[in-house]
Amino acid sequence: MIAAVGFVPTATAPRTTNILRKLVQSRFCALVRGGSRILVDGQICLALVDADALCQREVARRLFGELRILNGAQDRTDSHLRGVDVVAIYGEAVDLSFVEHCLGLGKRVFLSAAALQPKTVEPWLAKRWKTAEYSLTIGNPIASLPSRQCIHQQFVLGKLGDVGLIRIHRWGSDTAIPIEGSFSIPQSLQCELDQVLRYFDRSPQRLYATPYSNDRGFMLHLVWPDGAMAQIDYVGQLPNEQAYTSFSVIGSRGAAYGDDHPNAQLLLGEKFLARVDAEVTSPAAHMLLSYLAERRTPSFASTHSAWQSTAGQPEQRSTLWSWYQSEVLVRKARESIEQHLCVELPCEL
Amino acid sequence: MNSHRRYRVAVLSVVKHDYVVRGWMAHPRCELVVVADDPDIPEWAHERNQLLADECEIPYVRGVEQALRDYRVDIAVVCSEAYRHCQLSARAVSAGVHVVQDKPLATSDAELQPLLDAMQQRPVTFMMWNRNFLPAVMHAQREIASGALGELQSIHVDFYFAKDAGPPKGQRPKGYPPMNWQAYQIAAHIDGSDGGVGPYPIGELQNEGIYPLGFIFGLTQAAVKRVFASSTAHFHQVNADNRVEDLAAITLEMEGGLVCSIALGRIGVASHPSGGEIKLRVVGSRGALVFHEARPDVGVYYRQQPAGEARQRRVAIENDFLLADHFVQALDQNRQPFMNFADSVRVFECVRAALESCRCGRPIDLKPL
Repeated sequence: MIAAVGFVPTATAPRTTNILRKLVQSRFCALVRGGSRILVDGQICLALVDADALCQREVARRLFGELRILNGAQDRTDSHLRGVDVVAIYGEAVDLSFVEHCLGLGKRVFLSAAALQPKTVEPWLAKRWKTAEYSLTIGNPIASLPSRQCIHQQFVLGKLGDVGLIRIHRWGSDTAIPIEGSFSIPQSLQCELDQVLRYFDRSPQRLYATPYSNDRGFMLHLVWPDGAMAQIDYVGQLPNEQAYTSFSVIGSRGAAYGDDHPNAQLLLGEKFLARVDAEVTSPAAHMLLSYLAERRTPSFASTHSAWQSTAGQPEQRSTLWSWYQSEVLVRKARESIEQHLCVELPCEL
Repeated sequence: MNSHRRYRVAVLSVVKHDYVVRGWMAHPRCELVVVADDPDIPEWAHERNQLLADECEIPYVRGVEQALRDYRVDIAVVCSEAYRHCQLSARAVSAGVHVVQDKPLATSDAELQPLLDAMQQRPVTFMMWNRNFLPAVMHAQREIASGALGELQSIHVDFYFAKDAGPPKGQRPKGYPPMNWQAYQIAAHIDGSDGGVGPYPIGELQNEGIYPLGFIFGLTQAAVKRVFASSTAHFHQVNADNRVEDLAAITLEMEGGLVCSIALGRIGVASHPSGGEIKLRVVGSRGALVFHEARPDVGVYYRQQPAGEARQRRVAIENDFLLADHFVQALDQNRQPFMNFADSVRVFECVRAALESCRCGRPIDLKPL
């Protein structure tokens, strides 16, 4: 089955053609969803920093190549990094000097969004997003979900045309909305913003944010200069720790709807329940494996250009750009809520 | 109670949606007695009126006041071009006739004024056609009325029609004139997508805004305080040429802290295999619901199935009949129906504020008429 997918053998195709890339892209989601092993060129050496046990186990199960688990500062020495191609950094608060050190050593760095604390990271991102675009990737666990990837693939392949509206409902995915004296935007909402920006590849012109009563969530309404728009409905908690998400893209040539509603299964018993199973066991592991699979190249020791043409979209903005813009939008959303005003945004934030 | 009374119904113009009329044809306590319109309307409009009159085997009278008087009409069903809605309704109201009107209520303050005046002078029973009697919508209303969700905190409606409106945007060859709105709408009558028929272009906020707003107003009595909206002509050349939207998003702030949102549009037939994604999502203090407007349905698939045929077929739909029945019961019991004149004015105010917000890019505080 995997052989039929047709990943390009190292020796015969040092550079995949656009057509092959598209083939790989279009079949990639099915491959991941099917739970198959993700084949990465055998030469990879991956360092996994501060990842949780589930993530470590999932990556180890599916990765071809060498995996080094690095936990704590004592593991972050040059000797531990020798021979490593990719450094994947998890945890709750990233050590930016370690990131810079890895980049300085020529390593590819994959940075989990959960490790990015806005206050410390935003000034760094503001400087870094233009210079480290393709050697540093921000991992967005929501954007990496199979359903989201499937929809994004259709968009990238041009099936949906130009995006007119993205509408997202995210309910009950966080245990609480953190409040820090004023409104604080949870990171899952920032992940949604980051994903929206990946579709538009440019900043919105206008933002209007409205809080729900009892601090239960927010409604964000974004407008782009050409009239395109996005609406994100976020509710922190639902009763009984239930959750629901819906993601739809309305394009000029078609539309895609990813919604828990039609994906629910019925359980009939003493109580009538509709249940939605999680798409992946470990979103943290899945986003890293997706990143690696998208960047499949003949050799991980190859040149920058192989990486810069990631996923066959050389014209697409980097994840660093979209994450930085999403940081700014979060700040603007807070401003909009506090001032109860629509916030105008400069052409390029 | 007038539970045995039969009501005499006149159709005042039927140039677009005949489904507004068909509920009355099916109701045992209603009798369609006449189709009427003004004599000076275009010939294509006379032809459509005549067609319905012939089907129902009733006269077509070219004179509204004469028909209302001579046929002792109780209820007038108005289904003209949008810009004539209010003046036809106002004339029926002035004659003491109850009114059921197609959407939209009006497309401008000036159009609405005669009806406002008439309703003040002679308050008859009024109802604007809506989709609140579809099974899924009624089910949602029952669940919420039962308290299953607790206090409502947010309501979200997706209202996408998977329909085309002529050629896609960007298809007009260089040097060709803009598409003529009225000519396109007249031609679109064949598939029922001519809701905007008339000489003045109207976008989807005016054309379809009643439906999602109707869902929201059916679930809450809270007044709308603030509206933020955005829109674009994203899909269809006829909308782009005539500078009216085919896609829009609205954020509504209501009294009591309730927040609502709407995404609506005529987004192209390719966007959905069965007519469009229409959904209702509600979050309350004790629970939440996600309902699909098109349920219940059945799936029908077969070889050589035409591309345009819906794969999922709605079933148990009696919206037209139930609306007629609801109105008859309101008359019997001398009470206001849902989407009465006050409700319809609320919808009009919301749409007007949304359009203003689209124009200026700012939220608009609602000013009641």
